Amino acid sequence: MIDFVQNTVDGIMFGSSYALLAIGFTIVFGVMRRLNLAFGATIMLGAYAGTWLHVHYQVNVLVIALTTLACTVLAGIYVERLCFRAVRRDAALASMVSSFVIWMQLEEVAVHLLPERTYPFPSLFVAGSFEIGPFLFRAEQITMLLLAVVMVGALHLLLHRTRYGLALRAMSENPQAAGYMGIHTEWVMLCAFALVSLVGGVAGYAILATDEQITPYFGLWATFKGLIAMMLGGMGSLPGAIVGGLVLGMVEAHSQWYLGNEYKDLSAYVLLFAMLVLRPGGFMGQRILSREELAFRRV
Amino acid sequence: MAPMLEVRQLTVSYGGVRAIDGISLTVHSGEIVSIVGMNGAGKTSILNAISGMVPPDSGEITFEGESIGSLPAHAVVARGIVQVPEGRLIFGTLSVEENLRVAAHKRSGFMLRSRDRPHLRQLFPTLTDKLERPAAGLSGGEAQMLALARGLESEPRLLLLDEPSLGLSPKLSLGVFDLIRQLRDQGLTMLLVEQNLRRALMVADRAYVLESGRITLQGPASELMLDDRLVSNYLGVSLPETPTSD
Repeated sequence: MIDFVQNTVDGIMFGSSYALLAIGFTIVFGVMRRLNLAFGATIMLGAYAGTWLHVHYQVNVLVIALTTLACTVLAGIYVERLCFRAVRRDAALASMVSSFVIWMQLEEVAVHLLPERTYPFPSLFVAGSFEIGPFLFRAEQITMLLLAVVMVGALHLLLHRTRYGLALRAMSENPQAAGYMGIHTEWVMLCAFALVSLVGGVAGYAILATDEQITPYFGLWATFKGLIAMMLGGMGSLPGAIVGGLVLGMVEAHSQWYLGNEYKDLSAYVLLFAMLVLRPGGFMGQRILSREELAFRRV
Repeated sequence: MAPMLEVRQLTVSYGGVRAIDGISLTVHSGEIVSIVGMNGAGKTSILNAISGMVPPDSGEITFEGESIGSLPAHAVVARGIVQVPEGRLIFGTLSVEENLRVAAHKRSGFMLRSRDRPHLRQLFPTLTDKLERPAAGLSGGEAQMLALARGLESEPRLLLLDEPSLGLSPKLSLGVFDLIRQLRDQGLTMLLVEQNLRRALMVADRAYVLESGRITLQGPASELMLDDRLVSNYLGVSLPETPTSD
């Protein structure tokens, strides 16, 4: 029983970063009805920029964290310009394919920047752990959870209390109608990319600071985790992304403990498969499914 | 007096197929001008070209003396031309209040604040007690009222109305046309696209008849109503009442 609770707590803490990755995918999908496959790679590139600074110069960790975020945002804007703005509105498949190509390109850039396989990633957080009763808590993971809670809270406020958030929600429902209302749709899209890159950058930083190392495959890893969490929750749904991320984290933690490390990823795929068969709209239901259908009709 | 809106030799095509073929029209301040025509005649394309939603192939669009033909949609709205699109296109997942706020977003600060809307209470009494509800729950008539109210929230100087009575019962569409008259009395200029010829001519000052992308007849609405060619072309055949798009 103690193991079960401990695993659940660990799962929620790590799952909170999956939730942030899923939010990045789901906001772009909600607004554009397109998958941004380069999302994980933009985070990886941002983190590589931070690592490069760390390897070559003796700078404060805070500077590295800020560089990571800034470069993630820049990479996100680059992807928007190249794969989403430049591609015609009704060519959703072309956007997806070109974002995949940009993913490869960003990976190449990262490898040229730092050619070795792994690099140490500096942590901004205090390491260490403490116990409450029989349970063990790692400080980095608590920081990760706190960051995720703050990000989700800030996003909620942004979406529901600001002019920009309203425009974004209007656009996710009907981009054409938003255009008639005088919303600068291209600007809203660009800001959405910058926004999700910021969220993804925070998630990436928190994950890498916990791992304390980085490889070029981080982009692939982040893409997998974010996409699975998004699909579990329901594509285009923000609460779905959070639920999906937490569930994915918990399932991984439990299967790692009870079945062994090699079953961790496998059980995530089994969960996704079961979800797609039994409830293809994800946890957050039917309305999202119809959106998904709409998206694929556009493809 | 120079017209408020002047469209000259406008041509619009979609994927090589010409929808609008060199039409010219004017709207003077304070007027209601109507474009009537059958389904697929290109009525919506004219409005979309004016509001910047569709790029014109050629032709000039001048609003209050300035060329707006190459402006993007958001810049056109900022100049005071607001389109109430066909099929209403209200945001169903947003509340009624939020639908109105979207349209007023240019005047809002970064943070949204609740606003008092005295004119809304007067013109749209049915909407005022449903402000917090999701707009998806509105009836067809209420949704059309919301679409109109939302258009007005952008503070238009020229309102483009695309089939405002489409899909409404005769009684409800009477209500819509009543509202259009009220707005005219308040001095709003409107360009109205309608399939319902009789209603359109009754409310409009002048009208253009559009057939296959060309204007075939134009003049004061009261004269067109008595025009034999129009009667034989339109009133002889039954007009479809079902919602369809151009």
